[in-house]
Amino acid sequence: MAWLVATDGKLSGRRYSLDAPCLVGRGPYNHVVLDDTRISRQHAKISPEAGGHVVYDLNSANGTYVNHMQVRRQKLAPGDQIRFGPFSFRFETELQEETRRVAAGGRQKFVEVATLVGTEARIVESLDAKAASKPGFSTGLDELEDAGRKLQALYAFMQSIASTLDPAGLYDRILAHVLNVFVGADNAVLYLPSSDSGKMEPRKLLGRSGASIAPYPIPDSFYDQLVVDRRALLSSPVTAISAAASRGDATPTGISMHAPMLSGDAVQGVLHVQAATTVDPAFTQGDLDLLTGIAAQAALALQNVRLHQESLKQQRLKQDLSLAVEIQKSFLPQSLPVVQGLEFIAEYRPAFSVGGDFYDLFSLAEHELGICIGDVSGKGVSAALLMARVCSDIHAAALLEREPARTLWRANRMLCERRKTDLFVTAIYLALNTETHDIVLGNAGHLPPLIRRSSGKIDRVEGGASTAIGLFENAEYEQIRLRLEPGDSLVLCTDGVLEATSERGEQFGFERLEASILAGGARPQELVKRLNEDLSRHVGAAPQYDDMTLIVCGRQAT
Amino acid sequence: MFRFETSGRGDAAVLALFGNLDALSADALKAEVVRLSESKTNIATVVVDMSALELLDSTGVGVLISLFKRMRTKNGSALFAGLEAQPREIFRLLRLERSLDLVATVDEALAKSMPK
Repeated sequence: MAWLVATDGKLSGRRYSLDAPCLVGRGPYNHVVLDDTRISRQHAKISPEAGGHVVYDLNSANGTYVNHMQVRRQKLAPGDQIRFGPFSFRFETELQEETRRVAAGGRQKFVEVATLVGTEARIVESLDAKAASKPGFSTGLDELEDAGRKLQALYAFMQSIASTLDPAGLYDRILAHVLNVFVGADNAVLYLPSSDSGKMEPRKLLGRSGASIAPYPIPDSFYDQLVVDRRALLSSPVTAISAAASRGDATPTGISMHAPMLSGDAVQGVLHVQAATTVDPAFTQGDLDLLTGIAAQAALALQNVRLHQESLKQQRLKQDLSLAVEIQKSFLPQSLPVVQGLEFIAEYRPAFSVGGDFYDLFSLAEHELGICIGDVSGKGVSAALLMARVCSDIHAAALLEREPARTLWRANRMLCERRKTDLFVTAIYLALNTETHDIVLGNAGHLPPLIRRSSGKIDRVEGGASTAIGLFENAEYEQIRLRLEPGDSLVLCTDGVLEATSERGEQFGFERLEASILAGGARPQELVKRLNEDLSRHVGAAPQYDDMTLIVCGRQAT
Repeated sequence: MFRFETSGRGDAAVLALFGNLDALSADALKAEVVRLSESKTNIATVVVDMSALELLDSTGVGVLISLFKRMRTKNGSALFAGLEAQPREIFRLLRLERSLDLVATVDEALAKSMPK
């Protein structure tokens, strides 16, 4: 136990506990709030670390002083004088007797969980330090050691959390899944940053039924470290075992895995998986890898849930979000496939800051590409959100199903299952064999694709058409087979192109579209250039009302 | 401009639509759709008269589909009569004729909905 004791001014005599990391500064969220302009908003931090306490200056304007010396990082000794701006403090520690008394009612955060004096988690091994993998023991995960199985476990996890949009339900699913996968684990705990301090706090604990193990407390500093390091860790309790034994308490035992839930740069939370066993290593390196993967997926799901909630809020406020623009962009492919003998062009122009159009080009297998284009009914944020969902639904469905008709069928089922609005989606999904140039295409209520033949005529592909996605859960889907001959170009667009309206109120329409594509020539780049010119000439100064998306896939003439 | 009129004939209601049903006007119709399809009403069939509808966009389609589904949920039905021009075209494009009952006129719809 340690304290920071104020030695002068109006705070004189106040004692601040240093059992957990303690923030000092002018901001109201600090543990020690010093209201003075000479104090930075976040001035300094004092953390309990292995073997003692350390004070860190957090780039404060006026510095942190220990015994009159300015410091950036300084280990503290009992009786040290610490000064922040005009405020002076003394660092004090207490005897073990005192310690016990305080700990009994102390800072323990777990409900119904025993606290043990002096219990501390120690990092036993970290992911990258532990290069050699140990054989699996009690986890039953031996069969998961190969990558395929691991992917399966991850995929099952993705499936189970994909459709959850309420946070509490998601927490439960994450933890239940973790216990399912790690059969040697007795508890799984989800840590999330507290809304005011940002510190990792246990939010949800799930124990295996019948198991009586209490989780050992994890000091804040441990998770501070995890957040900084961004890598998964193993830990085990290091305890004043004799102290615990002398009081007749159970000795804390076990081993834990901790994985930060990373999405992009942000640490969304920490997954903590604990096993009671001490004899055998309950977790292997493979387990730690797998937990790392699960934590990453969980972070994405958590982010989705937050995004969803956030967006609902924003929708009510009728605000367009720049956030959604970013998110939306992230759903569109960042680059187009590069394939010998084929040329791809994709253009996307939302009418407002966010749109309901989407497209995607992705690899299905060697020599096989999946291409989709779609349009969500409605506009603005609600359409953009649905677009994000459908985009990933179709992608996921495409990886599960070989046939485009089945892909659309599955995407339709996924969308109908959780559809809460009147919104629906028109889409074309096709699989293109990049060697034979065969195309299998399904059209869910979307505009018919056009093929500009090298002969200089245009085929409007009316076949393979079925109902739009998200309307009827029992809808059947069809597909049609096509082939791109040398010099042919396939043109997919959304109705924003067709309905681009001139100042006189005239729509661009199929005839102009087809004439423009014919005039553009066989090279996709020239075709798109010509189409854009014709479109902007047609539209003139009239405002754009609808999103426009265009995908052209051309096969080189031989 | 958009407006609608509802009239009752026995346990059937005729919902006549006029003008442009789009994102701007769909909310007004949505409230009526909810009212007509509430389980406590004794309306078994809703016939949507679309003969005077000039323009229908995807938001409007969404509301009409929700009427169809709500009526089906309460074991009733919704029929769509008199589709012409652009509304007919969007129904065709979305392949809605596969799942919805389309009829030529309101009278035909009412005859069809009568118990045999």
